[in-house]
Order: sequence, then C-alpha cells, then structure tokens
Amino acid sequence: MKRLRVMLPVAAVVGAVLLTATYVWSQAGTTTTTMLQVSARAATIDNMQVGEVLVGDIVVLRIHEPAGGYTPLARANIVASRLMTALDRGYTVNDVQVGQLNGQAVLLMGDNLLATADREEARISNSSPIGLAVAWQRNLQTALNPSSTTAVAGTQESWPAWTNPTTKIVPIISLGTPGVSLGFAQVTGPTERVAQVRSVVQLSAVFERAARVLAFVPSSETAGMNRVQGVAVTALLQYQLFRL
Amino acid sequence: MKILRRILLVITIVAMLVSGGVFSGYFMRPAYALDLGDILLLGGVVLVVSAFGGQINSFINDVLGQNEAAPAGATRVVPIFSVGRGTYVGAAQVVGVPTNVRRTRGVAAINVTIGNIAGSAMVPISTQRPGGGASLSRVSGVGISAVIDFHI
Repeated sequence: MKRLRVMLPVAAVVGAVLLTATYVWSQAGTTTTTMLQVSARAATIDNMQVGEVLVGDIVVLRIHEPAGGYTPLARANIVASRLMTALDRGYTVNDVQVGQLNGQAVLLMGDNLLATADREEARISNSSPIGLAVAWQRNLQTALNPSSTTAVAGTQESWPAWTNPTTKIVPIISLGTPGVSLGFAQVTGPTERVAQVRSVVQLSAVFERAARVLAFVPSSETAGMNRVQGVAVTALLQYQLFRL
Repeated sequence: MKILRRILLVITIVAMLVSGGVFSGYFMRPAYALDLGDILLLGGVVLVVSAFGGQINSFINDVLGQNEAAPAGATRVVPIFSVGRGTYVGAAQVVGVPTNVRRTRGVAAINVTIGNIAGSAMVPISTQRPGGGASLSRVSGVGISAVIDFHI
C-alpha cells in the first residue's frame, strides 16, 4: 500500500511530463510568424466551392474536393499551415519538390508533406497526379521566388534588340581541343555584333547525372573564348554528338 | 489495488512509447522526393522542364559564369519539339530580351541527317509545340544558348 502511494504520483507525473513534452514538440514552429504571407481562403469557381492556398496574393494551389472528412477550405487551411511551418523552420524555394508518399504524388518541402495530388484533383485539373504536383511545385516556386523561371544571367550590359538581325555560319570549337571543329553553327544577332563572331565555343556539363548540357558561346576568337553579347545560335550542324 | 497498479503501469508505458515514437520520427510517414529521372519516366520532357527548368537554367548560367561567358540577356529553359519526329526530344536554354524570353514556351527543331552529320535549325516559339499550320509562332530576338539531352 505504501509502495503504491509512492508509485501513483510518480507514474502520473512521468506520464504527464512525457505527453506534455510530446505535444509541445509537435507544435513547435507553428506559432512563429513568417515574412511571407501564407493564407487560405474559400472561393467559388464554376459554381464549385474550392479552397485556395495563397502566398502573398498568388494562388499556388486549389483544392476542389473534400477528403478525409475535411472540406476543401479545411484542406487548404491544413496545407497553408504546413507551408507556414516549413518556412518558419527555414525551408526555402530550393526545397520545394515533387515526391511520392504511399504511392501518391505529393508536394514536399524538404521531406515535409505539403499536399497530396490525388486522382480526383488531377482529373478536375485535366492532368495526371504527377502533373498536378509539378504544376503546384512550379506555382509555389514562382510565388516564393518570382524570378526563378526567367533569370537575367549577366549584368554587365543589356541584351540588344534584334531590330535588323543578320546571320553567319562559324565553326564550333571545344576549348579542350583547339583547332578541331566539332561542326558548324549559325549565329544570329545585330549586324555589327555578328560581324565580330569568329567561332562558337561548346561547353559540356552534366546536370544531376541525368542530363547532358551543351552550352554554345559565340566568341570573337577562333582558339579561345571571348563572348560576343547579343548574339545567339539559331542552327547547328554537327557530327552525331547528341541526339536531337 | 493490483488492478489499479497495472493500469498505472500500462498508462506510463503507453506514454513512454508514444513520446519515444514521436521523438524518434517513427510515426512520421516516409515521403521521398522524385528526382529528374523519375519524373522523366512518369511524365516526359515537358514535365521535367516544368519541375526542373529553373534549376537547370541556374545551373547553365553558373557554368557559363564560371567560364566568364554568362549571357547579358534573360534566359529560360523550354522543351524542344522535333517537327520531324512529332515528339519532344530535349530542352534548350533560350536567351534574349526579358519580354521575348518570357513569351517563349518552346523550341521547334527541324532536323536533317545526312550520314554522320546531323543538322538542326532551332526556332524559339510562343507555344510548347508548333500548331498544325505553316506558322511556327516564332519569337523574334531570342536564340539558343544551350541544349539539354536527357538520354544519358
């Protein structure tokens, strides 16, 4: 009896502490604010009540169907809450990705689930689940970083408009093997710029072990690389180097 | 009394297990990101460009920048549509003035192969694939900065 009197409060305290710690940990990060305004709202589209998730004033995804006992708006609120939590934890636009969870296409931030692109949502959007997840990913990336799809690469001068363009055929060379032509390229641009082009230098790189990139740089030299700005390639004539 | 003691013991053990499971991440559902190869397999070139176009664009600009050859214009990665084959065969980075680059949705490639020599005229267009008519909806003032081959 005496032992029980001691054990009872100890067990109660241990249980309470552990459950409280669990609750506090699971809620961590959801109450802090984020610089980006993430919100959810109800909207009516084609006489259909939908839930929308917004970053700033950009709609990044739209939920049409109820699921798991949640209305579209409730689902949108859950997605907005997950997104806010992820942003508060330091995830950025670079962590937005498409993934799979239990065989379904999902939108992720890092490893964190944001939204599931189920078949019904995909059907309403005239897409496949993976296509819908990719569309959501693109929308979110654009909202988080509006310049992500079109980047201005250089800043030293502006690209000239091709008001009176001309073309020219020049050899394609590789920096690694000077003097060896890999083929020929047609370059196009303003007349005075095209006149400066002597060759096109081919640079090769591999992106994530899954894609080979061949970059073509119009150059004013035949053995080195000195980019002529405002000129770009419009046709290639090469020995079978890549399968286009 | 014995029953009460057992109940308390069970409650304590359950609380410990729940806490341990949450802290260790055991109850978190395993999600994994799809890489470029997965998306290429599931959705093809257009989907890959949608998902990875921004990253590939930045990657190419970084490579060119490291070689002091970054273009001064705006750039974007779009799918290449082979007019002869009637299918998407890769992607291209286009370069030009920002307004025209934003209008560019694809590149139409007209291919000619004679023996071991392959020729490709590449036309930046304002749609992802050319329409049925003769017009390619060409975007003027935009050229090709790089081509991307996914078949490696």
